[in-house]
Amino acid sequence: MRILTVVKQVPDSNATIKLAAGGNDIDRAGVKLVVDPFDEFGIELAVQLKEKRSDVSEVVAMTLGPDKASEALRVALAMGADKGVHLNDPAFESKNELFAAYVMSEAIKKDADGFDLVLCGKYNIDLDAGAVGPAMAEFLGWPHVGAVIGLEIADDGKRFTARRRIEGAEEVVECDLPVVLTIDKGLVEPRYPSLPNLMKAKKKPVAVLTSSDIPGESAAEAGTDFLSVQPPPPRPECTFIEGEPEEMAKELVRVLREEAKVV
Amino acid sequence: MASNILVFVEQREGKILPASFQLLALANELAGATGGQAEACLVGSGVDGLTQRVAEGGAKKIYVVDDAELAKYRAMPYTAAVCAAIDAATPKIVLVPSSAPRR
Repeated sequence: MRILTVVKQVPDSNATIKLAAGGNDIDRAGVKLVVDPFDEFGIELAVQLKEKRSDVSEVVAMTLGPDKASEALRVALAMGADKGVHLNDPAFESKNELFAAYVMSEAIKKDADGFDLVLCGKYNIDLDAGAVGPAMAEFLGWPHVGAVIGLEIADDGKRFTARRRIEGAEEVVECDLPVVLTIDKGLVEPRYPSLPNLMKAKKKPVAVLTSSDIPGESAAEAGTDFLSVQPPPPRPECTFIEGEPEEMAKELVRVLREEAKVV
Repeated sequence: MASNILVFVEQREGKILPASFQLLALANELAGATGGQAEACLVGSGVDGLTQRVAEGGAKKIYVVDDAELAKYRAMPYTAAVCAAIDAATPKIVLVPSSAPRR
């Protein structure tokens, strides 16, 4: 069994985000970039499967992005992936998730040894769309199970049972491999790469693919374009009312009536 | 030129999920801009009884796909059902709730 895990480099959730000139993207200069925390679940799951099962021959990490995105691959390799694939070409640069999914699915199809399991995060914390996993499955003609929180792969490596969280319930699905799974929080706890493993990761092979390997014009048309991005509205002013319960209630009524004028 | 807005009304075990009504309200707003009307697509098994609620929610026309096979949500039969409704309705925009089974 060969496992592919998709990783995306995204702004750290603690980073201060500013808008870029033009207003349809964020300013990436000086912003700390990390491996998407949901994609880390995919890497961890892939590595655990390799550690537990004798039939997992290889874990490959794939990313789509500029030169800097290779850092995300190095993290995946330090966590235990065997090799990396970096889809790096200005022609691939797009915030269109359908296009990214198309390019990655083409790269998966072109892999000579083939994959049985493709893993990625339930969604990425930057765009929050969750489209890449299902779209890749569609391009590959594979099934897809989203937001997985439990996974049991049969000993023969051909069939699996997955649990997924839906609103107010949990679904249990059974399915054949190959499959695309998107992973939710709770299934695995991503490890911190140790220093020796970070050093070893530098020696692991990374293949770089460009638009000459994957002609990508056909799928871009059906996607969406970003017109603008805006920061969330500033948090409204908050007033604390303090005192004894009776006084607080009185003051609340006064404020609602005289200041907010809502009652 | 298509101008109607089609809403996929999500029901689970005979209960309509609240997001469906939000989308019906949005569909009515959008229909004002496109000069069309808000329509709904209702998929499941034995869901006829829900059409009244969907109409009250603002759907001017409802496409019902009702089959025992559709009792439980499964992506491919539901996709086929919704695609059939889209083909019949030829809407300008399709609205689908961003709920967990849809991902």
